[in-house]
Amino acid sequence: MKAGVVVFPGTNCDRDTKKACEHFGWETDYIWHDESNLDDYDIIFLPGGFSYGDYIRAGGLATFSPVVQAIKDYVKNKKGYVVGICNGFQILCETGLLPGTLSVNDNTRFICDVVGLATSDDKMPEAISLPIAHGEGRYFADDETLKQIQQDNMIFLRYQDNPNGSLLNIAGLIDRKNNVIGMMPHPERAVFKETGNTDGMYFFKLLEAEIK
Amino acid sequence: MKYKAEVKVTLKNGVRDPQGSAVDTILRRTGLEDSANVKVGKHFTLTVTAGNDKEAKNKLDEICHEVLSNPVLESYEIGRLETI
Amino acid sequence: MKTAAGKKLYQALNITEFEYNEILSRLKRKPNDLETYLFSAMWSEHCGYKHSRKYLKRLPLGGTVCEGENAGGVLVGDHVITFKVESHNHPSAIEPFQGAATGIGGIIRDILAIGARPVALLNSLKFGKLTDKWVKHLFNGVVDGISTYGNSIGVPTVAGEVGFDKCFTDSPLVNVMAIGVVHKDKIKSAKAIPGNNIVLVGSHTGRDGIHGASFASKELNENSKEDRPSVQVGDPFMKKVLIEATLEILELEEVVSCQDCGAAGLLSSTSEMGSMGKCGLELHLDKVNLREEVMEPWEIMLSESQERMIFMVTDQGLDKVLNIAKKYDISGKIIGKTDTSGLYKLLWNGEQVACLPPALLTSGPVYTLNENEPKYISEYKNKEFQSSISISIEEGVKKLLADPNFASKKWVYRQYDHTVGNRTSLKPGEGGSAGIWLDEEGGVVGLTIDSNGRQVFLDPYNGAKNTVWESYRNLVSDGFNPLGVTDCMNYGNPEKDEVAYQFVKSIDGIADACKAASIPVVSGNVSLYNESTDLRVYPTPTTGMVGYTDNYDKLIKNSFSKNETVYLIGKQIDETSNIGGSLYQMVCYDFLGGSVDSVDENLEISLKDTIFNLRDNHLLDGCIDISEGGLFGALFEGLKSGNSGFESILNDSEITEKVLFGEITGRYLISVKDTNQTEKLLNNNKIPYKKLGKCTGNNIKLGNIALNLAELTDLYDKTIELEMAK
Repeated sequence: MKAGVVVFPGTNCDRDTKKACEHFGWETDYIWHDESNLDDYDIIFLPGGFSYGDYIRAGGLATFSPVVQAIKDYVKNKKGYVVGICNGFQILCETGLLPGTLSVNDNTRFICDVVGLATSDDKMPEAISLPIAHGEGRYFADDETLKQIQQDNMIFLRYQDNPNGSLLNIAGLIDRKNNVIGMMPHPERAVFKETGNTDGMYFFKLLEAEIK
Repeated sequence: MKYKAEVKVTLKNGVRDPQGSAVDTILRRTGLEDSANVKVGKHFTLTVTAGNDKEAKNKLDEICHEVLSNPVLESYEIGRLETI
Repeated sequence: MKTAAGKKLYQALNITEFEYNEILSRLKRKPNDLETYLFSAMWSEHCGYKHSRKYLKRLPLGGTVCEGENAGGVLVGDHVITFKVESHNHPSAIEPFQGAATGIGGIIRDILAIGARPVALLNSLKFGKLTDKWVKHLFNGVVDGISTYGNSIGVPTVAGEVGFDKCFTDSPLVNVMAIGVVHKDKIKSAKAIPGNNIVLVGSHTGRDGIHGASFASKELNENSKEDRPSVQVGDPFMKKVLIEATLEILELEEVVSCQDCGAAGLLSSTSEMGSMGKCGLELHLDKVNLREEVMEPWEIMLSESQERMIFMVTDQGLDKVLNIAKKYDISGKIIGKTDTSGLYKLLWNGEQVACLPPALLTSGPVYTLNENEPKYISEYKNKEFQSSISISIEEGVKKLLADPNFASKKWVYRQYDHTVGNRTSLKPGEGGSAGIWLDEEGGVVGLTIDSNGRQVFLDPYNGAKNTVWESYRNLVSDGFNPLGVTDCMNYGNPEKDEVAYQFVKSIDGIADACKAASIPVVSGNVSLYNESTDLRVYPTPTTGMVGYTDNYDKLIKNSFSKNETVYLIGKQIDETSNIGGSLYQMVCYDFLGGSVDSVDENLEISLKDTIFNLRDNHLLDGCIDISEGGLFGALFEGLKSGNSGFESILNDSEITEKVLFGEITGRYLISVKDTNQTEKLLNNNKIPYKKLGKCTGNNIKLGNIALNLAELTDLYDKTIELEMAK
């Protein structure tokens, strides 16, 4: 299993994500934002952070990087899985690889907390708790898109106690046809017992099962 | 009378504009423009109630100074007033 | 040069006649205008520490690693934990968001400059009364600035304290502490060495914060608002990029030294490097990349544009450094060379515009301060506290919990990313301190930051001493062994006798406490002139302390859970106890006075040993040190975390304000299941203790008083949030 962790200027969860991947024995490389050859990877992570400072729009400027173009081709050609966490989810929505958008939290403030999540994937327990840390995490889409998302069974994570005003309590989406996953919570921050929470392991185990 | 106004808030001369610089970088990297010198500002439209033009202008000044702009770093420009 | 007001340049730059004469005699000639600017910045209080330097030497340094560098540290295994606290009080009073943001930027650069990766941030914030509209603006702006900047750069803000008192209305205190980790063999010095290139990496230089250094040394007055154009603007995105680029550059062995551009920018960084290495420097100011078209040499030297670092690099390493800058898309420019001349030379388009020994700039005058006790000390000491308008215990509890000083700071820390970095072992609200997993060595680093201005105001010596021990207890209560201290001294105008006395006595207090605890003061910062025409801040030494435990499983919980028995260990409050400075006296009676408790150092150390003994014998369930809010405050926090009520076995005569809310040193609450074994161990270790009662039900029962835990929790949790929504 070979994982790549994309690094934009301003990404700040690259090291955290690599550390978590390596904990599961995955060979893991950083992928610099100028890179355009992604053929080696079974899975690509767009980690959290503030790519290009999240200036103008969260994730907006990053979409102009060569690596994002390469990711679009990677998805089109079904080379493997793409997982966007937090800022990565925002980037996936900005590029259109996932539907909808992530807007400013409804309390207008950054929220860092541990939240309860209901999962809809039978390879994970029904309820887990994961850390969140974002200022723009309110999932928004028009009615038609929301209907489609539900029809396609894309919502795999929902907030139990919605912290940011996301529609349908959406915390994470999975597009099974194209193998694209986006989520606001940080599973990579909940892998080691020394961080007081290991529920993130379920997510990594799920990926392992999907890919093998 | 009700007045409709447009307000532009920009960083004062010489104040660093990190957002503008980040957009500059992207424009340069994508080859769209080498030195765009982007400055980011805010645009507001609002209506105020006032007896006459001067009163409206004063009210807008106060709104801009107290609420819409951060007078430490930003300056504002009130566009043409329209009565509605 | 004469300025518009007809003053001489040095006068306009706030150089005193005494200092100007000092410059003349040391330089043996008149400084030119540019040199006068250099002196004005470097001899300001902010850069020159002229009122404090003499006294800071009293602090113990034994055991410090990288002494004399940007930030000191302590050794854990093969790694250095480097840390420092710094103030950004004056800029935050003018522009709270940028003031706080650039405060973080500055302290991060200090950690970075020695080659360490920053892994955590803490802060200590003080404001006026939260009901005041202007105070809300400052509080909100500062929290927003810390949140925006700290979160973006990916360094978790893991702990802090926030206090409110009228004395901080005009002069808020914004102290920020950063912690970094570096392998002991990879530390970089800031010492310049002859024969190297000077490379400036990072942002372009603009007119930001010009005069910031001298500005920070002035009392705020009515005209301060006009100083506003000097506010620096931070760019967290650029900082994050600079952190990565710097760490990559510092991996190169061709890089011989490094320094960050902080207060007085390029001037302060390069002259300090020259002075430390007794080395000559030649800087070509026309080579500095500018953000604005026309800038004068003095503006370039004094600019406090953020996000810039200086590297001294061998000829062979130049390309490597410049390529790393290019990779990260940031500016990298060779701006000069070091030589053996021992002189600091500035050039402008090939012409020499300043030339002097760097040590003249970095060793400004040293003043001696008043040490005679001012009148107010005995006046306040003799004030007698009479709770004549006595309120009931229930009322006292509710007032205390709803006071923003005591109430939950969740509204604040929820806005700080405290889990980025994948290392946070103890989060805000989970202990007296924060914990950062040191996976490099296998254990957990404990971090805390504290201050107690009320006690220091009443008794500068004992108050400052107690502040250090308070930090010590915070670490111990979570299972950490204290290792080192950093301090930030926040005071008023030191030219006034009262303030001078407060400062000197506090230094002595900190020094004595650290000696007794056998921990060094590894770094620090001084912020003076925190006063306005009407109000002066309490003398506030803020101490940041770092500790360690070699195993995550040795951390101690801060919760008292059902069926556990709670003991008070350490000092007991009786009729004779001195509880001056206690929060409840201020909150319930608006009273500040009386004597401050003095610490029993031997007891503090045996309490630490005993708590670790209890833990290692698996007897200990929860532990909380008793500080602000007294015994009740600690009990409430433990029960809230453990979600349990409580039934006390105290006599009615013990259920008094003084016993429940009074603040003295040297005590903790612990919760245990095996009372026999616990008491045996406490007796063996000769620790005074008192059994308080048992955790049970949903109410806190003290004699015939019953308080509903859920109701109290609600009050505690929502106070600040509700006030800020007003």
